Amino acid sequence: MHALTSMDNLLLPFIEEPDEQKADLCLTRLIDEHAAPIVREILGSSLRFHLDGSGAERQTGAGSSKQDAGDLFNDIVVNLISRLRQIKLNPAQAAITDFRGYVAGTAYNACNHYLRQKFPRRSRLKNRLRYLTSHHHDFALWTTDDGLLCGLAEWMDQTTHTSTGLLEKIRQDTGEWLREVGLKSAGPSRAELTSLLKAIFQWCARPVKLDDLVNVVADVCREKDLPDEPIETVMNVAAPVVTYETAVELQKNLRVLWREICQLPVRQRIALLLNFRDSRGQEIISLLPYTRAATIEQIAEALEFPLFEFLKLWNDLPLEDLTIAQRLGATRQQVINLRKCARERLERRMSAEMAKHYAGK
Amino acid sequence: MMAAEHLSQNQLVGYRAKTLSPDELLAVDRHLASCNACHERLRQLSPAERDSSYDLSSDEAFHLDYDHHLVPYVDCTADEIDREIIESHIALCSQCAEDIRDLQKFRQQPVPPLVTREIPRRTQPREGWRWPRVLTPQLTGAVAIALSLLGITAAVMMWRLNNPPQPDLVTAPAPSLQEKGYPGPWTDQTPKEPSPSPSRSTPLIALNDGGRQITIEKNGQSTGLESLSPDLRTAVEDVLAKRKFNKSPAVGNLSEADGRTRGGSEEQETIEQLSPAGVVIETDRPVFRWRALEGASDYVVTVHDSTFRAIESSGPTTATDWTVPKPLPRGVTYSWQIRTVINGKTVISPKPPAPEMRFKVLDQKAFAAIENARRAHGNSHLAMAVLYWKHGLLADAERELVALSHDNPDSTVATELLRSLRSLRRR
Repeated sequence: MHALTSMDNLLLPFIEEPDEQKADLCLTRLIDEHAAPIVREILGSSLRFHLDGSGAERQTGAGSSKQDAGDLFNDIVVNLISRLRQIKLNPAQAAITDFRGYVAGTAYNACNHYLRQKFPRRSRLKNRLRYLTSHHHDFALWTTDDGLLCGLAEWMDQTTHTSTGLLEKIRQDTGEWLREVGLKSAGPSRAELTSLLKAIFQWCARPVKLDDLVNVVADVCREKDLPDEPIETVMNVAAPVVTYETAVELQKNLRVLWREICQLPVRQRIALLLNFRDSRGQEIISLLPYTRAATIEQIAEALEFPLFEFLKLWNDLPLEDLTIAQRLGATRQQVINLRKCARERLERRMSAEMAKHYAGK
Repeated sequence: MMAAEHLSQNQLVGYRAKTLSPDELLAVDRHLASCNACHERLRQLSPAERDSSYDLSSDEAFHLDYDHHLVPYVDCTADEIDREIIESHIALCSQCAEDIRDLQKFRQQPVPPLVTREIPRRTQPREGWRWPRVLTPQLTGAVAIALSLLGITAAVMMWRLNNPPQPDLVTAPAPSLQEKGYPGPWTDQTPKEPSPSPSRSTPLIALNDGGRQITIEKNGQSTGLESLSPDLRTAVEDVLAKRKFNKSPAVGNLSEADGRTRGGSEEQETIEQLSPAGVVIETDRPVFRWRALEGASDYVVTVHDSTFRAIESSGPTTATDWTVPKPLPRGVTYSWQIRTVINGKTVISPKPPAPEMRFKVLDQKAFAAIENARRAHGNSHLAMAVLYWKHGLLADAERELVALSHDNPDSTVATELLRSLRSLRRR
């Protein structure tokens, strides 16, 4: 019950409710009253800013953006519901200590991922500008309550910034503005961007919000994303459970899985196997010897652990990420990322195997 | 245990419940691998669901983060584990792979010196308050002076009201950062009302650092640094007060060019030398790293000492890294060159106008000091970062600051410190 003690109180009525119908009501209330307003607010600010501000809206039309925002909202909510149901099934898997923060994090990640997919050129231009402003000694990039600001190095830490409206004047007639500041051309190369930024900062005479800068530079350099296709898969919503009709099928596929695990780099093997759970939080390392995909001895060998050390560890599996991090000399986040990389590769390989499996049926 | 001697029910239950001792576990595991009967009995003990399904999918897509992955990777400061994560991911994710390629390409582009020229400021009036139109430029100047004088007078009066004369103190408190004259944010903060209990006010800076909390109060007093040596504590306070790292005193002119040890200018190609470059390094057996050049079959690395004497050479190697076989004397500044042959033409890097690739091996005294500090304050990312920076070990300092940043995800101070150190590494 340790997981429940650190669980956000908001979630407890849902998690502790034994009656399925009542639990569903709690879940609906959680989503409607707590999650949906946060998601709407984040989508509203992030997407309005990017879709309206980047000029892409003018190309793609308001309809498709509204549609995308709606799809994104639904995807985030479905993802949250799926996650909450998993937690109810297995609260020990991972406690959510701050539900609102978790919702906000999920929404921001989904927005970022969506924007990267929808506006890849803008996204890369933003990377370039972040890199340039943080690596060139004449420029600086710093964090304020209003987000990332950038400008000349001597302005660092200032909190007032140029208004979006003023920068709009550059975007209204970029050719005229370039002539005014004495620039013959502007492009996305490092040299051209360096001169362009210097000109923008001097013209504005005060710091600029990074997102505003990206919008202006995208217009001046004509780094626009083409009208896009609707994005079908915005988020990776939990895939269906892999179910096998016979134990023989499961055994065969776990052997394939084990073979693929052995192909992973050793650190990824360790991060994966020492905390090997399926997406519902169930530990699955014991499936390997149960199905004879691998013996405990073979698992120890794959992890490059001394056999007796691993035997002593076996009863305590799965381990917490922090414990694995200490073993690997890594941070907890690195362990999580190593495991995500391992899962990513295994999912890819196993999907191919599944496709073969069903094609053969 | 022979296969013929079947496992007892207790052993099978113990195996499934994970209660067997290591020796027993090994014996049962080996037996189950070869005995179909016992294996079938074990399967009967397992819940049906466990035998029919598993689900490997994750509920959230993983993509590379700009601060934690992209920049350290293209700057070659990502540690081994992050490099593995990044390289594994980009093998599967074309979007992140393209982001990395784009930033790498951008980084490799030359940066011309900025031409200093006067760029006209916008002609529109500044945002916010405007001078009334009735004011002529001459009147505007006079009003501005009058307002300034009024402002100064009002400020002095307010200060006097809020700071009545204090009786002399018998014991002087330790000088605060403010008193030491650091230009911290407190210099422009005049409290409207005297705080009745400064010790309970919200600190100006609060950082989680290796299980302790470091705070800087509004009056400049620090806590959480008591265990550091006076020198290190002062250096840490200094950095926190300025919220940035200045150029490391130990790096000196390592990254500046002096025209020696560079390839001839006739070559068109260059081999990108990754590390070490313009840094102090702790190890006396550095690993030289470079990027492969298309068409090159092997490379030769040469290490020169400060008198331009070649002291080590790799001989031809097909790898893209080479570790110097013998320790290099400490406290010496070295430079390194790499050459290859493409289509019968020699390519040597660095080539003008790129600066020579210099590095210094940490001197023995500093090496010992860092070893001692690791034992005493190894869990303090901030203290170690400052110490590394002081001795020019900027990559190590960055690693500590990344960890500090991880521990303080919402702290602007941690972010600013990391950013300023990264900017030093680029100069």
